[in-house]
Amino acid sequence: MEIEITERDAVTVVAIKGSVDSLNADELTSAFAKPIKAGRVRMVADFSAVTYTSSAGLRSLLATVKDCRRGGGDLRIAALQPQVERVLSISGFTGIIKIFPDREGAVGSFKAVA
Amino acid sequence: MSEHHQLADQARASCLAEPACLERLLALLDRYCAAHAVDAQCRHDLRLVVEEACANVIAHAYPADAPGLMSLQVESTRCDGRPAMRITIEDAGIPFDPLALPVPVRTGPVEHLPIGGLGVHLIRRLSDLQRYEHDLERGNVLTLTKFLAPASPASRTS
Repeated sequence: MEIEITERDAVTVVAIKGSVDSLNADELTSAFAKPIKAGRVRMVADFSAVTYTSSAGLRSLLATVKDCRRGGGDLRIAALQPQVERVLSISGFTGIIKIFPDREGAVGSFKAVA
Repeated sequence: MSEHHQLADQARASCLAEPACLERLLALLDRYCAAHAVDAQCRHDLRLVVEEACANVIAHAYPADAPGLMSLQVESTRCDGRPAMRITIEDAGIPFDPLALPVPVRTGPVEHLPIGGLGVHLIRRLSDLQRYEHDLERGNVLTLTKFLAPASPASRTS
């Protein structure tokens, strides 16, 4: 798994590449936690290059969305691949986390309410 | 009760129930699925259920400072007349039936949602049959069956 973090105005974009599993999910959770600790609680997880996630990845997303909302922000997901979207749907996450077709839409959704 | 007929081959690996073991077990599954031309969606689902089941064993079956053995067996089979893959995961740790866990709640305010319990939910949803037994000799035995899509006419005749 590779993680790239960029800032887009008031939004932190965390772009993930590869598989998120029980061996590397802690790394993802840490990547999400750094901006939150700095008060940046508007986040987009770009999943366009994520081919697989297990429950370890889902736990990371759920913990992060809780932290962001507690701080007055949100975690939104962009560009899910079909297999990953299926796992999120089965797990009930598509009703919990806002999902957008692409990164631009997810980033722009924060501006719409700013 | 489903009727299983074991076919010719199976693959099996044992290792200490530690995180480093997981990659080895998943590699065994990947090789077996590739050799049996399992389609992409079934491979994805099998990988996920094996990861979830093995991760549970690694995390909970043994004391952290004294990991014991676990094993994975993968076999091509027929179940109720349909082609299927059967996964068997065994450990000699604390007796524990993962299938007895309740379905996690996924409604209501996000702040109140529990973070755990998703792994077993995914196992239930992405495999077709699940069975747990505790055997005095084998220990915890979790058997998961995934039906495979029937071979296409083209592949049957090739």
